[in-house]
Amino acid sequence: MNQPVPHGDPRTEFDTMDVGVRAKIDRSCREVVLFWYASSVFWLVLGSVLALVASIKLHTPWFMADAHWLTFGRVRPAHLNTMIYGWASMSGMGTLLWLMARLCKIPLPWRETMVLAGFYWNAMVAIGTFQILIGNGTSIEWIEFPWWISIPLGAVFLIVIALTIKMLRERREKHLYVSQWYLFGSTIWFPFLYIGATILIHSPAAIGVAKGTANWWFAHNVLGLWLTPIGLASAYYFIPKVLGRPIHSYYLSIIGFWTLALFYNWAGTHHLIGGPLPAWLVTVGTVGSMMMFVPVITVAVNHHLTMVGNFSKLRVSPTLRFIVFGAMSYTLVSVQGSLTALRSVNETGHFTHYTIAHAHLGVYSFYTMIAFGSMYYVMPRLVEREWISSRLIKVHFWCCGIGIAMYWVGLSIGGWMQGTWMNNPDIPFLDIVGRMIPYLWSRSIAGTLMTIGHFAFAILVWKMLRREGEWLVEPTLFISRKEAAEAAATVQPGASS
Amino acid sequence: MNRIPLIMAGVLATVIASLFGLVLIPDMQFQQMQPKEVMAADGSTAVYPVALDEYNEAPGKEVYRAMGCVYCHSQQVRPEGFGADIERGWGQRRSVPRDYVLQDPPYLGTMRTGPDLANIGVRQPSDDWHYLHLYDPQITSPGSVMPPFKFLYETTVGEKPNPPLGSPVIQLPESYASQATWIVPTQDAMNLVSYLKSLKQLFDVEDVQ
Amino acid sequence: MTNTLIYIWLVVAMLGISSVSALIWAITSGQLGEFQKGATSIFDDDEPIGEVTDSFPGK
Repeated sequence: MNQPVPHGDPRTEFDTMDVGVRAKIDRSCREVVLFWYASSVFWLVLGSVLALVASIKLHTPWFMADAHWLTFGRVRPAHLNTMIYGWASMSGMGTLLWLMARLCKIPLPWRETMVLAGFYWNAMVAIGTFQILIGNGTSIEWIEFPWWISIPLGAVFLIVIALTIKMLRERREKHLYVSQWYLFGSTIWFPFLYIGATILIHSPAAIGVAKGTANWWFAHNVLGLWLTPIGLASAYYFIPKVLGRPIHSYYLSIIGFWTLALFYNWAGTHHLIGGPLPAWLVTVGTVGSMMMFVPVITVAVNHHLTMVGNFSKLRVSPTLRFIVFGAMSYTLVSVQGSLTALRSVNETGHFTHYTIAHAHLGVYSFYTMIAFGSMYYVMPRLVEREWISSRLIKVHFWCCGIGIAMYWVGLSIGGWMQGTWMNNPDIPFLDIVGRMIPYLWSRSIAGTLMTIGHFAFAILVWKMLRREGEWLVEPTLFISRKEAAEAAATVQPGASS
Repeated sequence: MNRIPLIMAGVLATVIASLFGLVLIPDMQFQQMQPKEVMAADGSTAVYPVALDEYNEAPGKEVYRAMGCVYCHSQQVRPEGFGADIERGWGQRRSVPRDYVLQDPPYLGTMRTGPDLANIGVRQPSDDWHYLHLYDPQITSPGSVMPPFKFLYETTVGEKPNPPLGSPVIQLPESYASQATWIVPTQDAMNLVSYLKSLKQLFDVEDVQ
Repeated sequence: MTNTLIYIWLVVAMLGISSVSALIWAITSGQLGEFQKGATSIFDDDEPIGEVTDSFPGK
């Protein structure tokens, strides 16, 4: 394993990762990452059902109207919280742990603890969602769980931070890869934000409108400093890894990371433009939002120049398809976000379905599609099986891809019209409500398409967990490709390793 | 970029800085904003803003929270020239921080699936309107997408019921219910309506800054 | 209000000065050198540069 590195070889001074080491690392991640991933898919499906109920209620208000626990004002935050803290965070955690293990080139430590943490996290999200549905939600967007859920939830990260630091200190790879900066940052940012915001909202530490800015300092930052880093970390790893091409410019990556950390933090008050805030506070939010062009363009250039000349590989690799879709969406949603922070654009877009479309462009088209791509790469290497069906993967991709495109186009147009009409005092409000109905229907249809895609994915994941796919012939196994090819001729699928 | 403590320091520094800038420093400003005496147009003085009463309005705010009204309704009037909030009659003036100093927390809202409610107490002072609207928005606002909250009422068909003292009884319009139908709001519904009627942003901008 | 403005300017000054100092320190202490090595650290003998490592099942 400890081969001397030839002179001029651009690889690292530490062990080159041969098949055996990589297989050992993947094996160490199996139970933990699969648990977090499987849980996330459960929340994805539940969250999708809640989403459909909420969407239908917005154009058909008598739908399930007698069930007080499903009133729109409860099912909507239930959807948001199951998707963010259930699907997105748990999938993200699984990817984070696997990427850390791979990039530190050591087996994952504290495995039992992280499985327990997974059970704990599931319980917290379940109880929190139940609390929302019975009317104990806080009605503070993104922080709807009662404080006695959100504080313990955030506190789990103390373990994650300790684990991450331990892994970084014991790593066998000298260079910290760009993904690791993002992941490490996110493990620190999330608990600080969630626990900090909970304290600010529920205590006299902040009063009046400062609770509002605390709300949006949190909600915007949890997107940009928890979900975005995981999404970018994944893209920065999987694009080069799948293609077999290093990231085009590492130097750009470092600029991207620190400008994200610096500017994203300040954009939160763009959710309150026109609101009862001191003018300087709103201006700061707009400035921070515009400065976000720097990291976003940096990342876009980097990813694009890495992909250039290789777009044909999109036909070959499911991971690449989802991740490139997501990475391009990142550029789009960020540019849109920066522009929407301008007062002239905000005047129309604020308070409308346009902002909902924007939110889903970010959390779904960017983050969720990348998360799918990551899981498509990681799970076979943990379970040592192939995915059971190419066709189902394509169903998943196209349903979700077309679904989110339809969602975003429909609600952006509808929302923009809504805002334009709302700014015309001669148009009665109820007229505007009526004119929105077709757009809201288009969202329900798009959402149904996306949910079908999620069911396809859930079936694939279920089959994968039951190891029903072909024996995986990939370098991650504890055999080289040559040996695997020879063994494949004689081994039966389903035989234990 | 290989030194963990440095990355950690940078990561913490960026988020602590924004916490100060976006939350704690503005909060210092607001802590100094206590309810103050304001002179109305007719020369009388009043203290503004006033806290919610603890028997009806404050519990009503909890119902607003528990039903998730904030997800469709905002409570902030934008300035003149920025949108058409004032022209729509949603307020006489823009909202300012002092309007919210006693609100723990304020439900500013970010969606206007339904109209802004910052001044609904001024715009719609009628109890009966609120009770009918909340029961089924189609009664007062045909075409509305607001859900019905019939579960916040006791509905009786036929004979007019005899509710406890203080509870209103409202008859549903004939166009809506073919048989004589009466609704009696629960305590939650009554409190919610009290809260809504308390939503008023009074006085001039200069007086309340 | 002036009190707040003073705080704001203080924070801006602190942030600005520390960011610039951090940048200068990073450049002078060589933190920003040897970059491209990091980019290739995710490859190795078995999954080398030039080789695609993902495909649809069955292909």
